[in-house]
Amino acid sequence: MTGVYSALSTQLYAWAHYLFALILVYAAAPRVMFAAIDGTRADQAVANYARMVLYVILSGYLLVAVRLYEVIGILCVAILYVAWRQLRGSGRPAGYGSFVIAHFLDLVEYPQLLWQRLRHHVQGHAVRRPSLARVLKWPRGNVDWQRTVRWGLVCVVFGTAGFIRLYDAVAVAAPEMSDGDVTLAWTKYINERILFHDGIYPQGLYLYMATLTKFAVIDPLFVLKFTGPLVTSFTVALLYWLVCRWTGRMFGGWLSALVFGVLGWHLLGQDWSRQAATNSQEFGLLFVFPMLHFANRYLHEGRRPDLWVATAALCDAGLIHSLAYLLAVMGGIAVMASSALQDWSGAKGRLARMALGGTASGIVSLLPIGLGKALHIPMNQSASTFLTSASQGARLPVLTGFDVLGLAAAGLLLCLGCSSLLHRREGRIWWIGGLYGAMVFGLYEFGGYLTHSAVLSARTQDLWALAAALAIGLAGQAAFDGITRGRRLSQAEWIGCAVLLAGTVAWSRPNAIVPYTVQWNEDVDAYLKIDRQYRYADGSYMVVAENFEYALVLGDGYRMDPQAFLDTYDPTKPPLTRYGQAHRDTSVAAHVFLYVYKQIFEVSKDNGIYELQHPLYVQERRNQTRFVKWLAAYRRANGREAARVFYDGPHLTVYEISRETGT
Amino acid sequence: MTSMGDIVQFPNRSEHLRALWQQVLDRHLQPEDEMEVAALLESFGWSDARAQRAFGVQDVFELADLLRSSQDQEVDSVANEYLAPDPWKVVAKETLRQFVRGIIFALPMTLSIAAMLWLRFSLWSYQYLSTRAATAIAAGTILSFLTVGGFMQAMARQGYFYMFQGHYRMMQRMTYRFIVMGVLVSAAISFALIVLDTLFPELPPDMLFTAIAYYMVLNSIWLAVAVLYIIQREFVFTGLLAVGILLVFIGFRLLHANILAAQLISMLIVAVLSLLLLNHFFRRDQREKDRGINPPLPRIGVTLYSIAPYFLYGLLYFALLFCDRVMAWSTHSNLEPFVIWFRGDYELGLDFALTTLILPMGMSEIIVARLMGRMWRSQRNLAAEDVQALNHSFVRQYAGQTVRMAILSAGSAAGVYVLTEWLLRAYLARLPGHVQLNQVGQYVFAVALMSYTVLAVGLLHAVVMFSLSRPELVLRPILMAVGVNFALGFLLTRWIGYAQAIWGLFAGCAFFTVMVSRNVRSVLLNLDYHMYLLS
Repeated sequence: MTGVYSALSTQLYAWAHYLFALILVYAAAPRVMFAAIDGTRADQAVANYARMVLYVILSGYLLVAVRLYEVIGILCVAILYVAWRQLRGSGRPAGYGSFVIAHFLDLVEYPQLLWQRLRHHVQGHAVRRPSLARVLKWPRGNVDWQRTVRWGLVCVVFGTAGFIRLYDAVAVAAPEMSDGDVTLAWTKYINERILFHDGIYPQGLYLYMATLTKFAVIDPLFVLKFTGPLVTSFTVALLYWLVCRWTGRMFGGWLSALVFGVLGWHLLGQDWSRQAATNSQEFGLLFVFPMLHFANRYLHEGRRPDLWVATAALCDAGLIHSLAYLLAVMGGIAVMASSALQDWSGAKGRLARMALGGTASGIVSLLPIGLGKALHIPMNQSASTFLTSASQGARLPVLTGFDVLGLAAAGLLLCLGCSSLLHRREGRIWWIGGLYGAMVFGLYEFGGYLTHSAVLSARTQDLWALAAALAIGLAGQAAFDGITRGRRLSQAEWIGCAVLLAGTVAWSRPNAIVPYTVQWNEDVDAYLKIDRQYRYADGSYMVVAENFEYALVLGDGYRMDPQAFLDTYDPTKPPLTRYGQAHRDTSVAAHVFLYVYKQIFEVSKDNGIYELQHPLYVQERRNQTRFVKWLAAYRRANGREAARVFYDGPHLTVYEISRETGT
Repeated sequence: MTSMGDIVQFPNRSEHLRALWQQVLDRHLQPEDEMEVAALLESFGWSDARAQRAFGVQDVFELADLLRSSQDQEVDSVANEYLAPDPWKVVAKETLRQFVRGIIFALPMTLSIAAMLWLRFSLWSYQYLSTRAATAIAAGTILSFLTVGGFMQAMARQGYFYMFQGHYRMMQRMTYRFIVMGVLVSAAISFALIVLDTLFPELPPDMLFTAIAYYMVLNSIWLAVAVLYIIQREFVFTGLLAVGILLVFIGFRLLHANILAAQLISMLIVAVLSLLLLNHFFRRDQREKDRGINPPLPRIGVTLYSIAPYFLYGLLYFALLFCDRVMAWSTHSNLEPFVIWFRGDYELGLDFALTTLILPMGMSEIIVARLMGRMWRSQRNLAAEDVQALNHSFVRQYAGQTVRMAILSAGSAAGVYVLTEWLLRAYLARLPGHVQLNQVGQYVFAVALMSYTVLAVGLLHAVVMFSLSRPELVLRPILMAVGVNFALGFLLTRWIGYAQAIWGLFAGCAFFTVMVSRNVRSVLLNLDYHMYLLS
């Protein structure tokens, strides 16, 4: 049964608004706000995205701290920033205003100019009207079959990687994993202008999502569900972009995207499910590849804007997640080391500036802690516990075939780097890939074992997966170039590649990722139905449900704990009368919804959080038994229609009680 | 070659030159230089050949030079005729007329307030509207003022320009052009609002369409009313408003229609009637007063460029007046589901306070008319050597007028405060379901009285600047004042509470008044130069 969340109309509406906001805030706005960067359109888009995310996070911290975080505040800061750039002379050229006014007056006086210009524009891009014969003849001589097959292979990889990650966002209503509710609540706290609600923790992801929510004007639940899978899909795209830009060829990029995007679970293991969830760490990792590219380009070509973009990406990672920052810093070290190895004397000044940028990013990354401390807020308890806890019986991770492949690729790249050094050839990308792979592998393999750190033991695999995919892509391209020696592949060879891809995918059998949840999809569907109907109603609404419903309802309605409700309201009196009182409780919302379960949701017993959740399940069962009795007494006293069924699903029934109804 | 024969044809050469110079002066009292004189001569039909034949000069330029040089010698001996002051009866009558014209804008407002108090509804307001509907109507109303404010100013500028010259046909065409543009712009903004709300669905469709419906109909009414005011049919709109309220009464009370439908239909009828009457008045004025020329209007691009400062002033004036409301109503609260939420107590405080502007506006008309009259006289009656003394005397006199205006405004505010308190406590309190000012309303009312008192002085200065054709000296202060209003209102509402938006209005009005006062002073200190620019 298609629920409210996964209904086609709901999804189309939510996706349209989400993508519109994403493009508006993170693609269109930075074109106005920041200076253009040399390079391809993709370079420009990536640089704009990295800079805009940094801007959104920093201005977001500022606005939330001074309680001005809202669309007006965001727009004001953006306008002030653009005006400041204009005053510095880095905005639009002088006389631009007069130019616009002159064109406006021209158009008012001669409206036909508009049509003329439109016609001219259209004619400039006009295509001859196609006839069937011409269409049938067209492929001959016009279609580059190799190019078509190449792009076809890329599309297959991206399509599969996207499907694997995005399926859950479309089909499953419940927030993913145990952190989903927290992520949603923290995003809503930002919208409520509350910083560090549960203690100091990097708010980068939540500020990013809150800003999207402001402009998408959809339920933050959709922003939560869409952001994570899109971010990890972007990571696959950035991996492809980086390898292609470095090697100047498609194969390496395609291979790395295949390894991480489609076959990634061989590298990520249990953490593969995080690819379909929305987590800070995965969002922070998105900025590692832009940092590598622009840092390398700066050290190689010396263009100052590249340094700013690399520093911005580094700051992004630091403001979002400390492990992502660690990986980005290691990448920076690898880039600097390779540059030093290739051209120490020429790159000394740039290396110093790059180091300065790295240091600045460290300071920026610590700013939220300083801000939190200034506001007398303690560190987030669970994060600091996790950060400082020691793993019991730390062991060296068991290497999989893909780990070995990644390690071999890093080794090959180091050999290629040495060879380039000996033959005085350009080989910095081999050095970067090799050094980076070796460093991150060392962290993964020995970091947790030597330090007994639970964080390093649990999470460095995610970092290694990215570094390994990068190394495999670069090494694969090197091997490919060695085999083909620069010649174009024959059609038969391309078909062979396609068959190889199909075989690999068939062997690997990639499935859509569906992370575990802690509640039924029906909980979310019922909430969406209530919210749509009663969000704008006089007197608002309140749900009486377990804690997981809190994050969903936060900001739009109210939630009451079932136990508190059962202990407060007398079922034998008119709707919502407190025990011992004669009159209805007018302080409560006008529309109240009781969540009564036919079956309590439980996570799998294999799941690590089951033990933590178990006491809650026991309490829920107790509440449900009392609920049924309360409802029966209520209906006896007030009539059956006083508690009408608002939503009915296989596991859940929601009853609606209106304060003003009943006898 | 000069022909002696031609000169002989005009033996009285100097008289002829004098007559020709007078003809030039009739066209332009102070021609800039010889070039302008030559241009004027050519416009009279003088060619090089004719100048050669008549005065023995080589061409029109030499004739212009000759005219200027021969008349320069006579400058010292020529003086303007002394203009005696008007008799006191004329002055008194004129003063009364100006005062009435100044306060007449308040007549529809008074009628509307009376209808609200007595019937509980007016043409576009109703005491018992749901907050949701009130929000939509308030949004539509504010937007309508912001949209047509510029058109009103532009029409007034251009309309008076043609009317004072007796070109009623041109005036009609020009005002109709602006009305059509206003309607087109309103339609475009409505469409943009629909697109925006589709992209950023902040308001539910029913609220959006209510807001747009009121917005469009109110725009039509404002545009028509502005022209009625320009052609000095001020009482007609009051009559139309009364008809509109009667129609709402029939629809809502007698036919039991929905109040929104009754108001919208009534407003539509009022708008159509306004336009029909407007057409009728134009036809009559053309029959009775028009000078009979009807050349093509200037190019629309030229017109727009020339009236742009006035248009912007109209827009910014209403932005200054309404910015605080928007800040107050957009203040986030857990109880309000929309980005903008009408706060009745805030609105009521402002509405009561607005009446304080009535008397100062009447006074403003008198002060400006006197000031301009005195300028005109002094230009005729004083010698050039008295210019500095004249300028300083204007500064002193105007400072005195400003103080008198400030005292009158403060007195008006005090009077409005006492009257409103009496009305609320002694009269309205006895009525069932009466309107009342709660604590927020009282607070807003008190600060708004101060704001409008200060604004009255600023508006006097603005009118003086417009009378001297220096709109740019008003534009910058009002733009900055809107910025001050916005910034302070935004910060205070978000940090303290929505009622504090009123301090934004106060700061904006005070800033505007101070800035425009400085500009008035600097203009008056160089009044001779500005009068020269005007000539």
